[in-house]
Amino acid sequence: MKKTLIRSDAFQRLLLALVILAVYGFFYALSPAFRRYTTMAYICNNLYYILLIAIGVTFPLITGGTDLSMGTGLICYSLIGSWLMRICGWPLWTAMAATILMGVMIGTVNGFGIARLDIPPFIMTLGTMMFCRGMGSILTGGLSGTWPNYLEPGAGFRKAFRLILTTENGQRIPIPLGMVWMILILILMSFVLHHTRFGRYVISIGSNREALKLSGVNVVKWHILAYAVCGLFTGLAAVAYAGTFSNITPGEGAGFELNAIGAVIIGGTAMSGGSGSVFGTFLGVLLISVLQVGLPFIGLNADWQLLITGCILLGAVALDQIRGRKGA
Amino acid sequence: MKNGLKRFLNCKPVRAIGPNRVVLLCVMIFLCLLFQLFSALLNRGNAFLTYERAVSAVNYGYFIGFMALGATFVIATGGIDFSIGPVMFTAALISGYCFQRYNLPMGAALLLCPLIGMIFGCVGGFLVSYLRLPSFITSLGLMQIAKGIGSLFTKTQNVSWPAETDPGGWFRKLSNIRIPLENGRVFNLPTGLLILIAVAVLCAVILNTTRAGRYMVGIGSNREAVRLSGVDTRRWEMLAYVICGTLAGFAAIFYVGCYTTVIPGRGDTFNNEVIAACVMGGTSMSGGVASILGTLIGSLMIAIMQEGILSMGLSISFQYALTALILIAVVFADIAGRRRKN
Repeated sequence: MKKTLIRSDAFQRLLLALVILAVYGFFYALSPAFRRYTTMAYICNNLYYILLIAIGVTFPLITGGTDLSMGTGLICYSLIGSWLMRICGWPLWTAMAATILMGVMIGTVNGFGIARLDIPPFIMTLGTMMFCRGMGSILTGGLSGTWPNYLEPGAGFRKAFRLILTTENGQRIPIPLGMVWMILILILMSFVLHHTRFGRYVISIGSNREALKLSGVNVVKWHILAYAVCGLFTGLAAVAYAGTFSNITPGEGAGFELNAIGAVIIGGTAMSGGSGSVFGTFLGVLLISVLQVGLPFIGLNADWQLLITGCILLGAVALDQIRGRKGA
Repeated sequence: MKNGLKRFLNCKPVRAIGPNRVVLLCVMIFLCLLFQLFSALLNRGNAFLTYERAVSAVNYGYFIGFMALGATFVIATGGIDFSIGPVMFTAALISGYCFQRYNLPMGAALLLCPLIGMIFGCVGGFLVSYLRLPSFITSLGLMQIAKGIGSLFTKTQNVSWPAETDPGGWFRKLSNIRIPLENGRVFNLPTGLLILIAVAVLCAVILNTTRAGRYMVGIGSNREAVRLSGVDTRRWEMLAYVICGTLAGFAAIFYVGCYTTVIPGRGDTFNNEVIAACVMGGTSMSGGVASILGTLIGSLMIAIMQEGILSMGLSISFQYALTALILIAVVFADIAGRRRKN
């Protein structure tokens, strides 16, 4: 199949970048408050956890599956992390490791159910989503959790995301240091997806699982691994969420995964599986985050965000469908 | 023993309702006894098998039942609908708000509920059947939109429907008639259960005897074959989503009839219970097999479980976790059973 310029991935990504600039310009023109530097830092703050789960879910989506457990999962893991620290008295680093490990565990359970037991991905992950939602509240007794803030010992992990510099005249300037790690992770995962055996197998599972199986590959193992990677990133997102926001409320988090999935599809990963890109995911997340932060600036509250992100999700899937039809 | 069981499952009355349903009923009775035992053990001698608990359980069963009946049609076509719960809440929010603020007559407000559900069903059905979007992601998007619209319409405020004695409170008689007895106690006549059974009979007739129902089941088992025999599959598939949305709106009437207050931005926890009720009743996730009676029993089972957990003195969070485990187990049993048959 010969690709024309308009249909090439690079062109689509360029188009997406232009859309992001246009949306940014729109908010920039309408709201003076949006133009401040702190808003930019705030966008970055809002971006970390969505970006991490979006990178994670790129892998299940490429295999043709999905993961709905990420949103409530990440809240559940960071709640449990705070519970381990505050109630059980674990040190920060072990609690953080436990948080990430929990993500990997739930991801592996998802993968086992989907790859080994053949349960439809959306049902399996819907189940773990509700399970996480229940578990988070049960363990913490329905109370919200906190991780060490800037004044407590162990604040170092917050500085990894958001370094606050104080200038000579007492002004505090937030530096979104987390972006550096995000870009490193992006480069790493892009390499993993396109240049390692794992990445190639994930793509092949999405395009033709049977063929891969017949060529002697242990499909189940790699399929489970795709979900485990997704779980790993959900665990990382849980740490990022705890590091950027002060309060973690049980029962929150439903809907994060939809933003992430929407972002991945906007970024060019096909719902039917078999193709995808990590950098496209980054652009999709950027668009969602700019919208999320920008909407309140022009007077549209959280309810509008629900409505608009829902429309974006539907629009992205429709776009994907049209893209797929042309390609076939 | 094994032969006896086989003979029991093959005898006439059992075959008439289907062995699956009979097993489910037995599990239900067993569960009731289990809850009776555990609520006595865990919650200071609390009893589960009481009349009040039964009324409370069927109250929960009404709206879950209506939503599950609708979802049965969608699942029969091989699709899935995650927007049922939020759509139900949105319908209750918007019509309740209209009643409160715009002095809409109660009758009109009650009619508005299924209408709103129908609109969501039409949109979802159109996107899935005509634009061929995957049903699960479409309904997830629609779920967000429903939540957003519900919150925007009510300006993120709770909506309380009138109490039985207030003007317009007669709608509660649809779900429950309270008859005061001579000795000062109150007898609850579960009218909602009667309506639920009537609607279930109607659904069973539609699903099993009409062209529309047979086409829907056909689409679920082999869409291509139905299409090649000259049937406009898109139209019938869309109809399944419209029925589902309308019944979700209908369920709203019975939700507010029992629980009064509706909170914006909620409702997605019901999806799990509804889907679990359908699959438990023998409707296959892969489409093509559906049972209305099974769905009805499944909904009652969910209601009993919810009541049982409360009776044991555990929080609602346990119910989320437990329903999730049951959902996965039931779907796995469905898939494993079908694989063995092939």
